[in-house]
Amino acid sequence: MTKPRGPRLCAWTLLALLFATTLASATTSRREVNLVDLVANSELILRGTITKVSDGIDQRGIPYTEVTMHVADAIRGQVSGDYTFRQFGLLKPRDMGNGQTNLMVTPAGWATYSKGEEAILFLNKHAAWTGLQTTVGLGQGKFTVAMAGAVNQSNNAGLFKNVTIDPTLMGTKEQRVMMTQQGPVNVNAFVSLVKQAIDGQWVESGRMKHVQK
Amino acid sequence: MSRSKSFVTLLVLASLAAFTSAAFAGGPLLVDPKTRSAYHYDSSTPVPVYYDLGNLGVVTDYSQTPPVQVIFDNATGAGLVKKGYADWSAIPTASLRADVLGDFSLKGLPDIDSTNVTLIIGKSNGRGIYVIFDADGSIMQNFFGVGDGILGEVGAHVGRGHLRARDDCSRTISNPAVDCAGHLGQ
Repeated sequence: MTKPRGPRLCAWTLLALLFATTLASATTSRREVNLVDLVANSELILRGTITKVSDGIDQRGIPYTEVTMHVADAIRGQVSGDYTFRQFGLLKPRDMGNGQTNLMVTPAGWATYSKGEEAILFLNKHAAWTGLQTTVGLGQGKFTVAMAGAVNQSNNAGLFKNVTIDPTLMGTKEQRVMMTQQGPVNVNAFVSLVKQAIDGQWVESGRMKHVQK
Repeated sequence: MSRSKSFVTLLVLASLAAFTSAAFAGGPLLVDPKTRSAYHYDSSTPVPVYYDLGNLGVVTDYSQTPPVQVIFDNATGAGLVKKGYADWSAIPTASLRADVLGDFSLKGLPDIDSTNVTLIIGKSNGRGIYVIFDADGSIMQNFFGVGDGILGEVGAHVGRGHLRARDDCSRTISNPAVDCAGHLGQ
């Protein structure tokens, strides 16, 4: 005779949900940016492979990480070949040789980079005074591409939240992408959606916007 | 698996889940890769805290008709700094004790903006926490290169010797930020 499995299944499901919500609350510590923010605020959107990551301190004493991407697709902006930018913070603490250690590393929540990874970057304009550059929404504006999926450092949480798009503009695959609540999205469908938003000036024309509250 | 074993397993996992967020929240900001020990302030004496000289923030409140300018003055910022570190220091299980000694003039520093922020960031001014008020958001934009929606940044600057002691750090509190709907943020 088979024992009823409902209560036990229910308990395991509740436990799984508890884990999921606990992890989500621990990692969401800043304002979420969504697709409207990423498209509206990025000066460059680049897809490619990170080929070099190094760090240093410039003549003004500003610590930086220097990232070079070999650009395969400039989704926004006129960029080809290699693109190099500097982001605030060292890769790791640096011994200054005088008994002190420079601890100004990449701040928590900012995008981090590894040589060889494929990524999509939504980049802010350069800082006027330092020339430093980083991704829109920090770690939320850098998507790592792997196994045909793209995911940012917030596991795409909130990426499509409070976003409304004229439904006549989207195909089936774009609509499916928009249903993602968290976790990787299909990279081709995501890039297609972003390209259409830029080419069609969806943000500027108000056809893609924040949900009015 | 027997029913009782299954229940115990569930209980243990539920307990672990309940403590997951605590483990995330309490992680070290910086770990020495050589020794794998966390950098920390020397907690034998309270850490001095200094705050900026200017306004905390100047924003426009678009919820009013017509929109009005709202100024969060230096006293408002100083109050937040004092309360924040007092609350932190009052936690019995926290090892950090911080004393808010006063504004940057105590260290001979001026009002900090994006043109002189390297007087704080990239330079050691002695042991302490230096809280910068980025009244117009220009430090976040013109120095760090981050855009809208980032409320602040905190980072350690200098550590000393093999004890992995942290000497100083800064907190940059950005212009209290107006969100996309024009509402005042915190």
